[in-house]
Amino acid sequence: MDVGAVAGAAVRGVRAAAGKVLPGTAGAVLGADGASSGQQVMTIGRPAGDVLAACRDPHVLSRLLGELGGVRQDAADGALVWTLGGREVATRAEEQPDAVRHTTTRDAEGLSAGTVLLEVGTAPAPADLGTEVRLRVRAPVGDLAAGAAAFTLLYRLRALLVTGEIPTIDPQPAHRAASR
Amino acid sequence: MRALCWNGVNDLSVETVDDPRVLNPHDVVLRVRATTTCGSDLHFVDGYLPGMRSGDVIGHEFTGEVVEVGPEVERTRVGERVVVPSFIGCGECFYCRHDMWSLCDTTNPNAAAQQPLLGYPSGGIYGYTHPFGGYAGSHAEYVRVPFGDVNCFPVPEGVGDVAALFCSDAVPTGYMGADFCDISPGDTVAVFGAGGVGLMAAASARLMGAGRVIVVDRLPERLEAARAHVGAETIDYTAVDSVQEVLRDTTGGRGPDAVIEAVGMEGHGTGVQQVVDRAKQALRLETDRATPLREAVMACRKGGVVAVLGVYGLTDSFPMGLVLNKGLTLRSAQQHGQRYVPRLLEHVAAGELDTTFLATHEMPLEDAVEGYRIFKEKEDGCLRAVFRP
Repeated sequence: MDVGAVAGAAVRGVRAAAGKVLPGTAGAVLGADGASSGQQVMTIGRPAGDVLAACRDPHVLSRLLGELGGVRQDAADGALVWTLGGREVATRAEEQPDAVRHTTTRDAEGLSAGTVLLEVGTAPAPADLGTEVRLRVRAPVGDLAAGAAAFTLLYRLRALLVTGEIPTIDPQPAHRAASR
Repeated sequence: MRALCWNGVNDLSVETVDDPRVLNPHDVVLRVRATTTCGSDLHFVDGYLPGMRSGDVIGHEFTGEVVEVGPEVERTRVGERVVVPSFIGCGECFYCRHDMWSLCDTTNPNAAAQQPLLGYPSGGIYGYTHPFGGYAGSHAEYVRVPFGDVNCFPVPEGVGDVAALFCSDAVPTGYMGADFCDISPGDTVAVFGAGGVGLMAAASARLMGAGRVIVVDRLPERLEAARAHVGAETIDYTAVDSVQEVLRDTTGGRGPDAVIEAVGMEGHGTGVQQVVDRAKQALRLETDRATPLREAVMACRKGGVVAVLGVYGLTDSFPMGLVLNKGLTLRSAQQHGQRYVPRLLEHVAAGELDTTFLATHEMPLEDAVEGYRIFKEKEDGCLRAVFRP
């Protein structure tokens, strides 16, 4: 028995099955650099300009990342420096009228230069519902995690723009720290 | 502070935990004045509902006094006595603005954990599993309430803590079920389940003009409560061959205009299907014993409304063909409490709605473990155990 082939088939099967039920995995792609993409779309009851401004702001991006990492602006060259899982990734923002892309400026662990780390696209929502926001994140994590991360970032973005705050239970979760 | 914690299946304890504090600018912190058991808690106490973690502070039905407010809280004042719906709304999102508060789009910190199952996550709730937010619950001396201005409702003078307490969950849930039924004067409404929610659904149907309210259960003390406090007719389903036939017979062959199901996934019943459900649930082949839900669908008249208030997981053997061929309208939701609490407090203050009889047992928070045991076992006629931290 080719154990490797069996294991590979099992992993592909699980991934395919998970793609049917887990957030953002349907369109997830495992790239040649080992990074995965997760994509989600939500409607946010705010103008596109507010959405895009938020997604350019390192302070806002840090709040959206929360426990996942942080973002700061490099004083020397203006690049955004993302801290993700202990790694630093530098990006340059590419702005279009209806989108913003954060593209890596140099190779980093699991991400080659020129990779679109985070892409946020907007379109008007019908019936004055605001803006349809499509967020795609690429990260050196599994595609399931990338999909969940994309969902979490969008959920927090919507909460922040709509209510002015991001829901949290930290540092007061209902449960004991040892069970986290 | 002291709080009731979930440690595992059928394992609760009162422990000392960290005090809550304001975390977000719209937060409020309450000193809990009264907090009560709810039948839906038993689903995770018994291990049928996943997503709990060791040490979780439970409880979601409460009233309290405001002791701290965040910097952006405008209306809620320190010292106010308030009642708080169990689901947390933000007041700003599409769903809150459309009065569907339990569907709030912004208050679930663990929404990503819930999305795989629901597709579109619900709002957060106190003390009710981590996919539902992981918020600390109310069986404690203090509780943090997000978005205090839209979730805290001042209790009128003259309305006691216990009367107000049930306007947190049991009453608005029951009232919503009756509201779902679009009751016309003289309608007949059947209510399956005579727990706190079912009794409040029956009382609400009365308030809305139902001509007859028929409550179905098996426990004599609960059926007596339905007769004595709600003025309902009752059916003990263990004493009749067929609840459907009794309902059909007593309504001139028409059937009830609406049926409210207020039992949920641990429903009891009779017949082969109940045995099959119990076996499948024990083997974890399904999460629900849905006898009352099926009975509700079968009992309702053609073209009627079935309002589902009981908490369910994954139900199989659901008679969808009956819903289709009888032209039923099926309505359900976790409670949109913020829609109803102000008018409910008015009903209570005016003496039009009695909630206090639900509080069959009152005790200090330190006795909450025993309180849950009595409540779970339905011992000593227990409808609800109320804890006073």
